[in-house]
Amino acid sequence: MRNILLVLGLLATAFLVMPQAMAKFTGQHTFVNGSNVNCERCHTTISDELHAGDAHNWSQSAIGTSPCRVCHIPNNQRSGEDYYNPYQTGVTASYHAAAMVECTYCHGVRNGTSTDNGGLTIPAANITSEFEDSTTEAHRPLYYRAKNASGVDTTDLLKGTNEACIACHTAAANVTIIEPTQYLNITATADGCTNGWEPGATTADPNCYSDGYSFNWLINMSVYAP
Amino acid sequence: MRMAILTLGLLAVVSLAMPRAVAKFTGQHTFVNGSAVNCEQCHPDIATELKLGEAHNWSLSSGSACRVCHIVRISGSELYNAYGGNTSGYHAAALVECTYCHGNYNGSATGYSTPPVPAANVTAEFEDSSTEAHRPLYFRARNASGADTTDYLLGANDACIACHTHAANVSVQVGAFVGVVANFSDCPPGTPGCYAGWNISYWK
Repeated sequence: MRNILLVLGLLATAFLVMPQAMAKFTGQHTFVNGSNVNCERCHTTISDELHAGDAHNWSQSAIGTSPCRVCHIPNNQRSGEDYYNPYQTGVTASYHAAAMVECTYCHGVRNGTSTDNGGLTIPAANITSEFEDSTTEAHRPLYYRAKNASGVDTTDLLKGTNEACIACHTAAANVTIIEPTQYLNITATADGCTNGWEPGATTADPNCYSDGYSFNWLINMSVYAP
Repeated sequence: MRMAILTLGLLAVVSLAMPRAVAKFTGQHTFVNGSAVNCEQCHPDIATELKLGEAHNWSLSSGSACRVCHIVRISGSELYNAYGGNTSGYHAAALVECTYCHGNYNGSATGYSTPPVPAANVTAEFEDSSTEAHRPLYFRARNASGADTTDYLLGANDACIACHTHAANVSVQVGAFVGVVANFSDCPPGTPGCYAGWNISYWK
């Protein structure tokens, strides 16, 4: 009986000094809409980086806090494409809060269109086309390697061609280009061939060019690597 | 029980020491505009070469001089890239032919703070010429016959660098001699090879 009275007394004391039932974590029950989540609260270093650049600069965004959304929650809706995430009014099955996007998602076919995030416009340059439809771009091997276009590469660190993008457009890459030590060898032999080409000619021997007088020059080219 | 407390303690320390979620690579989110990309950061050897030459010398250009040739800004040219505009031909560095500038665009402004392209149409100097001795080399580099089996550089660039850089070992092999026979034969004037009674013939 004394024990029962003691327990009741303790319970009464507990009610007095602990009037509130608590959750496990403080603030756990104050909810924030997805559109108001503050990305930089967790991603402070990325926030610092974005303030420092001359492109994608935080201060140039009209979206207010967390312009991370401009890239990672792209609002640039195009029919049949799955990144669009309008918050609550639609469903995207492919991601929740931050898509790992390819740079060329915006800087490809969507060039020149509105991001639909704060009225910003994507620069008018279709970089996908500038590489893939090009015969003159010198960085095509880097682009396709980053894209793993051959399908046989064993290391692929970022999505799409992003490795190539950050290699030049950020300071995140150490690039080493091993220039070959080699020379162009040209050997020109007078009268080394018979059927020399000159303007207007339709047939010629390989590497055989006439000087327009009486010599046909056999001109061979090769690579000399000492 | 002690292990559980120790684990919880470690987790608490980790939470304090690693409060920030990071990207995969440091600096990955500091972006540089295309017009400010530093080409020589990746291409230091080429930068060194460009500082040594008499032509296309780095010191004559501001910023990354690579652009003068590889991001052409000659007004009206099809490789023109104004940064921010679309070019279907290339993104950051066009593989250009030397005669792109030194041909029909001779004398034009480069679009950069450099001297204009010299006023010499090198394309015409070869292709419209009947006296230029290096025409075989030029046309061979250009693969003008379409029958050549090796072609290392665009257009006539192989020929350009053969003389205007130190990148080529050139060997010219002339094995023939000119044979001259002058035969005083009292040949009639006006006949082939006949000069003042001398019948002069050549052979190789």
